[in-house]
Amino acid sequence: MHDLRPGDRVRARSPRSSFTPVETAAHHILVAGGVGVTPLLSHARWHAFWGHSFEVLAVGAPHLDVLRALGPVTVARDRRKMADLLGPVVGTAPWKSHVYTCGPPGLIAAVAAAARAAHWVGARVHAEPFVAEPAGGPFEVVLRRSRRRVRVAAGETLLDAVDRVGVAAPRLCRQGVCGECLTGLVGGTADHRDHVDAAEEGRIALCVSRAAPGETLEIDL
Amino acid sequence: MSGATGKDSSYPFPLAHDTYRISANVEPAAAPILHVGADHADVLALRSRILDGEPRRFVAAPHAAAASWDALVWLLDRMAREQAGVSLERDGHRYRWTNARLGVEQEFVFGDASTLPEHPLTFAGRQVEEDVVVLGARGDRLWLDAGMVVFASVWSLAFDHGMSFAELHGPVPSPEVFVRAERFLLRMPPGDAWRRLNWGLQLDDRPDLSLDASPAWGPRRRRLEVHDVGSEVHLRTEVQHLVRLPMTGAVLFLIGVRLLPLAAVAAVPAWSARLVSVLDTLPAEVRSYKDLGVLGPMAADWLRRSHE
Ligand code: FES
Repeated sequence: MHDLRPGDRVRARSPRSSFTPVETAAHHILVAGGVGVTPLLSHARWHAFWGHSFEVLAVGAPHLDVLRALGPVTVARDRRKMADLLGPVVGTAPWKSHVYTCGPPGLIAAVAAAARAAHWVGARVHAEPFVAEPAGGPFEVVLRRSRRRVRVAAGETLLDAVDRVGVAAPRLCRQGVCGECLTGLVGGTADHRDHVDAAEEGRIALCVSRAAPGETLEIDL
Repeated sequence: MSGATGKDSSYPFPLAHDTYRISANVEPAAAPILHVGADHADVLALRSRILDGEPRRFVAAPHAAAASWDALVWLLDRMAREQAGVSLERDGHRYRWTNARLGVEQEFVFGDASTLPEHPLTFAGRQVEEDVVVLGARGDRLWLDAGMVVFASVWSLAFDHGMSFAELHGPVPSPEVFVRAERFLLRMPPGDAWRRLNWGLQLDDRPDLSLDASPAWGPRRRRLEVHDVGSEVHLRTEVQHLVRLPMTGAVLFLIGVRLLPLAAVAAVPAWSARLVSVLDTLPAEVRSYKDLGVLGPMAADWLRRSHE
């Protein structure tokens, strides 16, 4: 990303956020640390639009003028000041308030601690963590019935690889949920990433699972 | 009644295998998502008639307002993309909706209930063949927050209103399937759309098998009064779509009902053989959940005989 220059073309995907406001909340507290303000700007616009009760606590965040035009904003000069601010705000917030934090892990932890100290339940505390996509290194798979050996590239799924060499395999969801692509695992240790407990049946979900590091898989295909 | 009988050639035959087990069986949705059959106008008229006669076919919790507007805009935009004579123009929060087929022209302001003649969900729900349910996502669970459902298959929207996803699926024999399905739905990115098919058999061509209307269809169903199996008994396929709404993250659940008489199933030998095989091998708990204890074997026998 840092090698990009103005005018370079980049490929973008639509946002994959599951960090949405809880519509049943009586009041929304938005805690923004640095560029973590980005999703919370949308939250603030949304609450201002619908007339929801909300406030923003910000530390080191840009776009403060935009936020101030939408609703009440309290700015903490540094992390320590933010920690001092959190206790009273969370402690005196109306019943059924929710808090949303986007920022560095330390800030997320500080908000969670303040909420816990005020006897909030976990379901009222939301955070947008930065998550890395699970790694997917290359590996090899032996298709026993088709008598083929296929190399699965990094970033390619087992299902893609099987498709590429023209071996038919069933599938529907491609997310490890439906169980349609489960195939017998005859040899090798897998890194199971499905949600249908394929491992318990000695099978593997071709759409999401991979070989454990250094392993070669043999499947019944 | 001619409603939702799927008289067009593209019947979504629901059985992919010779045996059936309850599963999430979702696949990526492909356009068109919203069905427009040969009897489109009749289906829409029937939907409005049922809703107007029984207002309980619509529910909406106060906290479902934003998600309902989200659903409205998604549905209108979808229709505009997929159908002729339909358009949605937008200027900021202002929209102009034209549905020439129904003679509807409406301006509205997003989020402003006073600019629509009725609730956003019924406004949309009257113009599509599909039943419309809004599942709100809160606390890692989905909740039935709102909906317009006039073609329920032996359930009641008003009774289920406010239930969690797990509670909604309480009567289904394989609860673990729905635990996984809920997790999947909660991880869906905004704007994603998925499709799944469900099926059953019924001994008439009524799309409305709501529990609210059970006095109208229950007695005959209990007596299993069938004179001509081929024309009276219908395969009921539900084309279900699951959409993660872009603004609120609520899940829009669309249910389209497509009915096909057994005689028409018999006309396609591959369908007939598959349905017979599925009915013959149905696990007992699925058979009783789908209420196919008698109707299942009756349909299988009729299909077998029709090929002799
Ligand atoms: S395709 Fe659904 S689990 Fe793999």
